[in-house]
Amino acid sequence: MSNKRTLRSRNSKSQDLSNLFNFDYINPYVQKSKAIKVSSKTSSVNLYHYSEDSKLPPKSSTQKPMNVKLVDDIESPRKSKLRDDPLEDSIYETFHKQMWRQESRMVNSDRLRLMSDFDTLNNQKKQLDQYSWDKFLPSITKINNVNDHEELERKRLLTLNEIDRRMSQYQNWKKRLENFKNQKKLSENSYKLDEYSTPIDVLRQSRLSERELPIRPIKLILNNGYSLYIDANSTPKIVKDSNSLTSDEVVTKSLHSNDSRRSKVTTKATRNLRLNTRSVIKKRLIKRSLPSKKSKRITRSVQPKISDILPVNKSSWR
Amino acid sequence: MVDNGSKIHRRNKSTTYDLTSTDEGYGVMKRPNIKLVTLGNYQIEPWYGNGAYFNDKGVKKELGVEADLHDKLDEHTVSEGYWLDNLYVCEYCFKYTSIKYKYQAHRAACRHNKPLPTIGKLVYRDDDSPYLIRKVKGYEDTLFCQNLCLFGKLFLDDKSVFYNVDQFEYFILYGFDDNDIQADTKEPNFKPMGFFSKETISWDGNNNLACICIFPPYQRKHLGTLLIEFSYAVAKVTPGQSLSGPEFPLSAFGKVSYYRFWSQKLSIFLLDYLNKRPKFSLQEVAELTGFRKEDIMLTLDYMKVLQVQKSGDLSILLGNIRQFCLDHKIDPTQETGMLKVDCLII
Repeated sequence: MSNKRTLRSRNSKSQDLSNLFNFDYINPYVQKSKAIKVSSKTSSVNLYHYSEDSKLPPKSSTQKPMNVKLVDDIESPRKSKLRDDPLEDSIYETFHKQMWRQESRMVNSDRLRLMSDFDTLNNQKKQLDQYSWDKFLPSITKINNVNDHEELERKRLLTLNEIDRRMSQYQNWKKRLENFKNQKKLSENSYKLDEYSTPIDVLRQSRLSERELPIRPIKLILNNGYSLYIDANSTPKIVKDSNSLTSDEVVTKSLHSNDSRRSKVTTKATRNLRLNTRSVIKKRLIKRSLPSKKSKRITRSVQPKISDILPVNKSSWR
Repeated sequence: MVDNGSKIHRRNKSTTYDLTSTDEGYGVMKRPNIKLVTLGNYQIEPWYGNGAYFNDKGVKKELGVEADLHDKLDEHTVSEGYWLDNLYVCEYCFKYTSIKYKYQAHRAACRHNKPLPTIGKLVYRDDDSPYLIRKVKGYEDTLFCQNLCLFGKLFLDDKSVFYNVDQFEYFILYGFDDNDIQADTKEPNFKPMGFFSKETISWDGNNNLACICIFPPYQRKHLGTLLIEFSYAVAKVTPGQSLSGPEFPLSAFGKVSYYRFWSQKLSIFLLDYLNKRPKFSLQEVAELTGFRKEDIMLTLDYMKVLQVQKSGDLSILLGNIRQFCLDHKIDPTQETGMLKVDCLII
């Protein structure tokens, strides 16, 4: 097995085959789950060798200096004497942003390459679906004998399957990327349990309910100086929010807006959000009203009385 | 060799990006460019170089964050072959500087310098050992994760993401430093001892770990095994990761750690599972262990327990597994591991 796990052959004896699918060395035990017999014997003869990767690296490559010294000349001043942190976050801001942009370009170029590869696969699939697919196949997949019709047929099917698998992998990745972007936009649950004094069982149950309900807490800005927090793990709450504009401020802002198109888009987005929120609340109400054991358990676990929670083994933390 | 886990493109971790003017590239530097790094009260010799700390403008290599500092001490002496003689890194938040007095002042002011860490989310709490693991998301605590990556690179030979950490989650292992306990001056704080990162939307959806590092003062305590075991526990509750493993290619240290881990787990599992079974498939073992089929095959090859029969079929030799256990001091009757399932909060 090569370092990079790939179906693309990197054999380049007669022509550049690096971009061809190669189905000549499919491992039946790994790819097709072929059965392996069990023997009670001990032997060092005819041992199976799967890959060069299974060998450990030379010891010299994992021997590093363990020169760790304790130094005592870097004592800090007492906290009480300290005024400011000389290493405030802002010190790192400019340089880190600049480097972040450079790394982002790298990530974006990777994504563009993925998109271009997806297009290539799409084209290859179209070619293999054509009447004259056998003309195209050798430029897509490694063929040992172009006159062997059985090989061509077999490898066409294998190639189409592999193309489908990769295309669905791309779609899956794209979907996960979209989900991730949405997840980033939503704020994290701010009603956390005390992680060190809450019993582990209660914490675990709380995490389980978070996982079971993939919908994150929602902050609905009411535009009256308040926001509505809707969280599946607790009762909805109306909280004062400095980011939330009052209704007068909303009108003023809208009047002063130079970009009417943008404001229309925002209104539409807000309406969609409200509609979505309604459906989410509805779904949760339905879920909560179901008389299942699970829903009862969740409701009980997410609202523990702090006074009921005994500190666990606190002495071991100190 | 072909493999189902292939993909259209995999970013090779050794790809060099022209972000600095080093010949060796951004993520890979053959030799350390920083002579000493001070982490808390420890002075450590870095294992590898890290160009990403530095500004590339001008001939003089200086930390990117200090490039425009006017109050910088000019008496910085740099030994031949290095870009910097001493880098000071906060043991709690990994903020860095080359200026000692700033570091000293920061240590006391650091908001993470407290008995119990609060960054991110607690995902493992072992009240007895005691060890904690906290999950920190790259897009939520960006600066912390960036600084962690930059520091980690000094002990990782191949790492290419330091700043654009949005799509990564970091699992930080905290514990008590033996020297703090011995010092007995005050109640010790939990300190970061190592971490592993995980790409949240990796191309190969079955990667449960991108890179792993235990900081040198805390090595040889089997903490790497604890984190590897934990990475599989996280994968179990991650959609699409019922079978998972580390991102390939593995580094030299990665190989040693993973082969030790896999072989130990598989020896114990197989001697029990294959008892009175005439045959098995890698798929079965994968589903029961959570390891990928390719990783299992690699490990069986490493253990030298598969034999080619005259018919061309493969057999697994239980005698060879027992011999492997003897040679590697593995007790096949006893499940070993660092992770306590009862302490998981995932």
